[in-house]
Amino acid sequence: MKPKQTEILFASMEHLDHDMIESAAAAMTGKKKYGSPILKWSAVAAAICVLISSLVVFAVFRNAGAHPATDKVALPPPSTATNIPTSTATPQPTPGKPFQLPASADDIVWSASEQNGPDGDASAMEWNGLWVSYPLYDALKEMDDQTYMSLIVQSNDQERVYDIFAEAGYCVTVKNGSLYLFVQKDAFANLKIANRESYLFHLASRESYEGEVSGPQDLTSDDWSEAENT
Amino acid sequence: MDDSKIIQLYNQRNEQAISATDAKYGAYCRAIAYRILYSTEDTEECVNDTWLKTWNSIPPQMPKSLRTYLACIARNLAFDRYRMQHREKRGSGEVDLALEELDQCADRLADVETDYQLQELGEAINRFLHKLHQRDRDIFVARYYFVCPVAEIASKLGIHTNYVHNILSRTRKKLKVYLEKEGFTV
Repeated sequence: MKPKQTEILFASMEHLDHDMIESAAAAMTGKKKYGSPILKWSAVAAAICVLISSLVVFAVFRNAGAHPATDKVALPPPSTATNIPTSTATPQPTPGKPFQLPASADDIVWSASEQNGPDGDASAMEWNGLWVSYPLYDALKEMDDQTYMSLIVQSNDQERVYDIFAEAGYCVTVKNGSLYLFVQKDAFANLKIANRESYLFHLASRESYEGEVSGPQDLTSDDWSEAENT
Repeated sequence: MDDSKIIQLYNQRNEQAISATDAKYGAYCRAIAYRILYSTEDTEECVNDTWLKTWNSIPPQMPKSLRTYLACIARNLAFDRYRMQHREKRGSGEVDLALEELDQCADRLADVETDYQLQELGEAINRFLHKLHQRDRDIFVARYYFVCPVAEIASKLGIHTNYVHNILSRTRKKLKVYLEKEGFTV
């Protein structure tokens, strides 16, 4: 009986370079840490940055006699979506963490518009130290804390934005050139990300998420059910 | 005992080489075989076969790293045994999960008839893995070579399980595209 194709692939790995095998074996003895020390110090640095920037923003707005939560503030124009690295990751819930996917895509708040993006408007509202688009700002006022949202994340550092959110354990995926973040309102309010103020969030469009996928690296239409089954 | 001394014992055809290898690398090889076979008895037989194959191959082989050399033998023997036992259908062990994950890379893989073709495929995977970030490579090898559970990889590397899943998923899709480009698919 012929071996299955997957078994051939698995068996072919017997020819892997020994240095690669040794490196992985060393990693599995706990000699390498890719996450914790960096995350730990990043978290400390992020906390300090957030504290300092909050104080600066607060001082600036107080001197100007304005209130950041109610004034329209111009952000630098976000990078174009084409800079986002094309990830093939499937949204994955994190066991034991509050950022799990709801049972169905119907339980998620999506944008009423069929298009992703803030309709060319680069300005945003401040909400809990985060920059959000007007429609999202309005929607957040109506939501309860457990409501799930599908958000598009934009940043001036689009090259790393996927890794930043994924490393922090958030449920993110890249599709059709946009970074989607699936998160509950309360988790979003307490977003544990360094430089929170450097991102612009707006509600994602379900039509865009589930629409035509271009290119071999993009997700398939089965992704949602795959994520549900995980 | 030092690896070079153990290899020296093999070269001298001294049977203490086997007991020294078992003492130093027995647990390591058993862990590798057990992740694939999920049976203590099969694992024990597989490890004994590993010592026999090592005894028969050193000399003439002179492994640079005895640990990696033994890992290769133990994994190959365990996987051969697994295939013999699972001709009909897959079970529910870790290797079955790993194979299921690899299905998406292999669904259009061309038939491999000879050892030479298998080696070519292995070398293509080597080239692909060398292009990856060190962390992603370690995770891929840990998962699909050593068949380590995702939770264990995450814990050892100090990263989220979710992130390991994402990295593996991305790497599998990249591997599929790479194998297509290299002409290993039909």
